[in-house]
Amino acid sequence: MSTTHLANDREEPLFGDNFLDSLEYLHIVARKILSGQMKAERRSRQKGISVEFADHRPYAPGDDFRFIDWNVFFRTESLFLKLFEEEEDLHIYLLLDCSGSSDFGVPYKFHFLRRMAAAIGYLGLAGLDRVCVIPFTDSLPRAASGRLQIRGKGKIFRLLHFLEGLKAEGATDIGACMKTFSNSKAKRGLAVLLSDLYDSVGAIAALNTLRYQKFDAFVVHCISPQEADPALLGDLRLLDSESDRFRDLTLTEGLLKKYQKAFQDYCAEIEGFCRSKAIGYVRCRTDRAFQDVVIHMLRREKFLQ
Amino acid sequence: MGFAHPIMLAFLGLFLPVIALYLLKQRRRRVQVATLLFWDKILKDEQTVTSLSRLRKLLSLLLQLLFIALLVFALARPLISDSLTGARRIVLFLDTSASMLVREGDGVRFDEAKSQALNLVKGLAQGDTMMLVTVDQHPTVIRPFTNSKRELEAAIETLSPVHTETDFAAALEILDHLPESRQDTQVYLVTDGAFPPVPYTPGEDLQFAYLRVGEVENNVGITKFQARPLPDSPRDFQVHLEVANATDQTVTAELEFRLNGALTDAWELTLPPHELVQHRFSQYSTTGGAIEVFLDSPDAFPIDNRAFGRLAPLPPVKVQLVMEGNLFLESALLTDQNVALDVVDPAEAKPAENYDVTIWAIAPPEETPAGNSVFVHHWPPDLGIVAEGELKSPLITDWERNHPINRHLALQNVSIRSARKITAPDSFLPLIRSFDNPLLLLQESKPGANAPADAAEKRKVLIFAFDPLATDLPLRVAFPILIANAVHYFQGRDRRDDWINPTVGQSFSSLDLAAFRIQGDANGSIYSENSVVLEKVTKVLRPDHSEQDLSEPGDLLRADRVGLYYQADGKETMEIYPLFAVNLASAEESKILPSPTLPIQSETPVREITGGFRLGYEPWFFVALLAMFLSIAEWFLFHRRLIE
Repeated sequence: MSTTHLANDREEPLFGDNFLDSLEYLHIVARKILSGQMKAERRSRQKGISVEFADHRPYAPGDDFRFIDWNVFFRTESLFLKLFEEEEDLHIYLLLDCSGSSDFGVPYKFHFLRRMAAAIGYLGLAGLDRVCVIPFTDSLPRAASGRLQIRGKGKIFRLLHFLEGLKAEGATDIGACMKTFSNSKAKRGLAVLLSDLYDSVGAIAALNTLRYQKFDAFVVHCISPQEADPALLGDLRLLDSESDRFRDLTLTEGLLKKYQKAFQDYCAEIEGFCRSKAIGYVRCRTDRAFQDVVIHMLRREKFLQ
Repeated sequence: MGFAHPIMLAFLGLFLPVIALYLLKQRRRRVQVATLLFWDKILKDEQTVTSLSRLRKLLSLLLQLLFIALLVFALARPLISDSLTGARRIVLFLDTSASMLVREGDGVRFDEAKSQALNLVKGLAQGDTMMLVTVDQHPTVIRPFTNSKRELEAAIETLSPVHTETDFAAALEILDHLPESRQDTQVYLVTDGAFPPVPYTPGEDLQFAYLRVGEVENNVGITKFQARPLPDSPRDFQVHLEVANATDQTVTAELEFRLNGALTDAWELTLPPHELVQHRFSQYSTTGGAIEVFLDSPDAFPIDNRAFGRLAPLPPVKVQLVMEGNLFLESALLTDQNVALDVVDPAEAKPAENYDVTIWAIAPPEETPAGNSVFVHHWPPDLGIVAEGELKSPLITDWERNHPINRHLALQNVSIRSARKITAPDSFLPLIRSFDNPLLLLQESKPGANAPADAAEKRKVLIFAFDPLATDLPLRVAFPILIANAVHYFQGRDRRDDWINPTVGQSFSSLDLAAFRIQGDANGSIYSENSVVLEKVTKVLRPDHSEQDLSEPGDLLRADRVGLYYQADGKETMEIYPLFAVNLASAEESKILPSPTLPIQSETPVREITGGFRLGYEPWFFVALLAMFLSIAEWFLFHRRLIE
């Protein structure tokens, strides 16, 4: 496992010269891990036209006669329709947290989130899946230009260009955003939530919303080292990065230990919830290389399988 | 209570800026965090924390103000009474007498005494003053009352014991002349107490402590020593000594006598326990020099096992022998190394005044010369001696055995062919007689005696009434002895003046030493000079082989070491003859048994030094110390942030 140490990488290019090489490397690794489960071979939860039988359901007026199971009719004198599993392209939704809390840390947390989004998106594009990038803060972008939906490996540059254009600012409301997203007409698919999840109530509710709306949810929980282990002592005024709030306090070692415990408890709560609800979860510190995190997702969290 | 520097209290004004700084709102460091989610969670009891923080800050302010107050208080130097500080006035008597050189373990008693004295100095507290007095034969105030530990320690380090007795009585007299003080005076006696208790009744303001040093008690030593020449026999001297055995057992020790380093005689002494044994012996020396008596007793106090003396050399006797062919007489004179002999013909005879004695072995002059003369068989008629015939083969029947001229003589059966039968005036003393007829006559011109009142007032005349060549006397041992006795007696020098026995501890100037000096003449002969213009002694070699320069006026030599002191100006002849010798020879000092109690005999009970509460330092020291602790406490409160 490699570790990246950067003094301040905000001014660095988001996607450097070797970034595409890194993505290609991830694609090769992913192919080995997924081993032939590529391209339209992933089953969808959507029932449709296919060669593989899925289930029966009673006939309703208007149904296509061609799918009536006559064998069953002869035995039971009731009309039933045969249902087949529909083979379709996988929709991958990259729900990217662009709130002010992402504009933080060394290494820069928003860089890390966007690189993670680019890597996951590239893997999806390489598998001919539909990749949809949806940045959010306290609301979803209303304009179509605020989000990106692409398919095909050749669209990777559009993806990168789109990610480069994003900015981290504003407040967070994950719950409201996920509710809006899941109530939209978006087709069901893999919803990857990339966020620091600094919304104690909203985060759990958001994941439940995705779960209830039949989305395959996956959480990339991104934290910076300064959040996990703040190197602060003394008389301080702490300024909230998403609002005008502040808090004056005298930070002591004892208080710092309390903070660390509270932070770890929160992360453990989120992870515990995800594990209990079969939601994919990976927690990554920004001082790790994003490639390592992606490989970890593929190997340990069965991402894209 | 007052303050030594009250103006320093103005610094209490520092309260104002400190309080102002406290009242000013502190600007906190602004730090941006990703979220306040967790801080909100852990600071739910914000109100309590804030109260504690405020209380802590108030405590910090109070500590700071208290710190400033204490610091200013210390700078102002508060004054309180001596009784509370407990400042002491101490007189330290350090014994430096000879008994402190008793070997104890790997060192000597004085090492322990010095260590105890240094410990006392180290224990001096603020305000304490100490006077350092060394006690030997002459108690000396080394340092008057001072509070400088460095000075006192340096002075003690340079001290070393001398080979003298202890005079604690004189030392304690110093206490009667101390300046008045409101404080009691503490007197520390660092000594072995090996001396009789000193009668002393201390005043009420004196407290005593006896710091005893030493354990060894057995010693055998020479407690008296005297070497004296016989007044009428310059070559003979007697040594009288006394040896004390201070052990519980009979001791057998060998006593050696050395003359100029050569072992000359030895005796074995048996010394009963706790007894004194006196020993006396006679010795003979023609050259003089250094004498030493060594008692071979391996005890812890070697200084009193040796005694030294200085034997002055004999001055040469100037003798003029006027003769024609009297070889026996000439040979007899030549055998004496102290005789400076001039043999002259009668026609060349020099005035007798130029010689100690002139021997007329031929017909004498018509008148008796002014100097000392020996007339052999013939004499001048003015002496009044009348010859009345001749004695055939006279027999020596009697001689004055106690007279110096006859000392060591054995004259029995001397064969004399003939002698002149004479009648002499009463001023002549017959030294040798043949019945009533004198054979050897002596006339001395002593004051009050039957001396002629003319120019021959100091004259000595010896008359042989027979011709020695007509006897067998020249073939006997007695003849050169008789001649030697006669010429030395005629020289008339009382050698008791040459015996110098200064007491140990005595001081000498270079002029004093000049009187002891050994002079040399052109012939290489040496003698002590008392009558000519004295030449100062500018450098002296001490018994410990160190040299002391006395070239500056006022330089004094203190003979505080037992042994021989030599002139050290580079003349070879001076290396043989010491200037003087110094001995301990003290019965008191040879008793080395330490006293178990304070060696003071007082009519009233002696107050002993006891402990008690004493501050030891001036108050400012404690105030500053407290301020320092407060500073540390404040630092701890600030940096440890004890707010939970």
